[in-house]
Amino acid sequence: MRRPSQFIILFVTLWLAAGEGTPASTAMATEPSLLLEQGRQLYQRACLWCHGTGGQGDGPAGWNIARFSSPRPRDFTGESFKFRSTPSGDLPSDEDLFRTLTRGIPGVMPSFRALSEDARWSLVEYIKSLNPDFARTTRTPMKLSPQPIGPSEHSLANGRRIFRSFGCPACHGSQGQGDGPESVQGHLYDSRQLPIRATDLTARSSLKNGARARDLYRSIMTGLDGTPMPSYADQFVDREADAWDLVWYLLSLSGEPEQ
Amino acid sequence: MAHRFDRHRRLLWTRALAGLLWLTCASSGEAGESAEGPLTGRVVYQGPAIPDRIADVTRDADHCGKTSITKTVSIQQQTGGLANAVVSIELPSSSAMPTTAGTAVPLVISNSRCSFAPRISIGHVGQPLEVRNDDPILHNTHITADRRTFINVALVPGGRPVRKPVTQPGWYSVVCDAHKFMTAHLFIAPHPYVGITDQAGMFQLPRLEPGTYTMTVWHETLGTIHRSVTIPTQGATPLVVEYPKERLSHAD
Repeated sequence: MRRPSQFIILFVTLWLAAGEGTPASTAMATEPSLLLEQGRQLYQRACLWCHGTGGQGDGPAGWNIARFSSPRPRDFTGESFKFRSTPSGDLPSDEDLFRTLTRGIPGVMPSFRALSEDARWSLVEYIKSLNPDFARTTRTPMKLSPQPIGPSEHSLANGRRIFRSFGCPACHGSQGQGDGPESVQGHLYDSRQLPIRATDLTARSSLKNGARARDLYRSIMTGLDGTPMPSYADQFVDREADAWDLVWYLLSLSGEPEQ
Repeated sequence: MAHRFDRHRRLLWTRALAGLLWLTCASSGEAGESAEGPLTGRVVYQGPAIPDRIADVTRDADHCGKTSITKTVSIQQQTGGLANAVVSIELPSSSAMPTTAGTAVPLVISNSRCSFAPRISIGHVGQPLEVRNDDPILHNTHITADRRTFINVALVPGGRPVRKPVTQPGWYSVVCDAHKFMTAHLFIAPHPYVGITDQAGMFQLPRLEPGTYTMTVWHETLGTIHRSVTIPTQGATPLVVEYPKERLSHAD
């Protein structure tokens, strides 16, 4: 049986595909006010079902995604953002918002790749306008080390050692299946105090921030704000190779090649 | 030579008088406020005893023990002085916000023996906050303001402390996601007029301009109370803030 969220994703995608061809949404918006207005119109057609008219994450369809458990649709007006390249506690960069819009969130939010780039950037502008802190604060991405060509001979063994010594099994389980004692015993909550399960690292489709090596690296460094997943950036200072070994180990848990 | 001797004798007399004055205030249990000096006082609770907070330890019991016992209400027996109450002044929104001294000094919260030290902290806008781990186990310090994350960082044993400036005033909740029984509170003030009571319930705030202000006293378990405080142009007035003996409805 298909989950209700899958119907919502299908519905929103079809709705957008039908609407994006209208002159109002395809017009190139160069003026900031026009860009914002274009974003507002798109938001009202595509996003408010889940995120609500005021962007507070209280749209009617949101209840079908997760009524009593995490994740609920993001509250753009004052809540933290999970998927960022910025340090823990900071708002995401424009590129972060664009990336999430483009890729979607597996199992939760559809990809908006069907929209033109201009349309997606106009949505980014509108989402930022819902929280005045976007204009008040600087949002500087963390300096993440470049991705090495691939794992070395000892990477997986070292990654497994770090996985254990950094306490990952407590939530993600000893085999990374999301069944660690903290998760199974119901000790994990999101920022709305809704129960949340640790990610099953053995299934690429459950990696909501992306399943590529650099996506995992970014998640480890920034943490996922609003969830118990912390940032490990300060623990990996001058140990970038160790961090990448952890990434290679996590990717090996699914037994699939890196994409 | 005689001149130097006279000056030395005057200095001794001055110090003796100052000491006598301080002893008089301390022994009477009264605090003073003065337009010339800092605002001092005592927060008192003389209601029924409140039991310690006890929680089961579900992880790292080898280091943390099987149960966690937190003394949230600490009273000095002789005076009823209440420790760890945060005292702050609400300035009128129209008044110019004075600068805070010492904001470059980091405010440190340590994970120590499966507890935060200190559990109740105060700081000022712009002050760097440093979180560190002094335990041989992993901690996960997660600090939020309302539903917004301020910082959520893993602290591995022997790992680096993490530092970040606090730019927004208000209350911050500190938890360890690895050990749910570990909690702390942090208040960041936009001005210097904030203090925290010591083991005797005593507090001290910087000198205020004469006038009438609202004083807010917060305690983790006993809740929040407000008092009107008048700072005279000169002279001293006893200042004792007493929590009601009945629990406040909004208290924990």
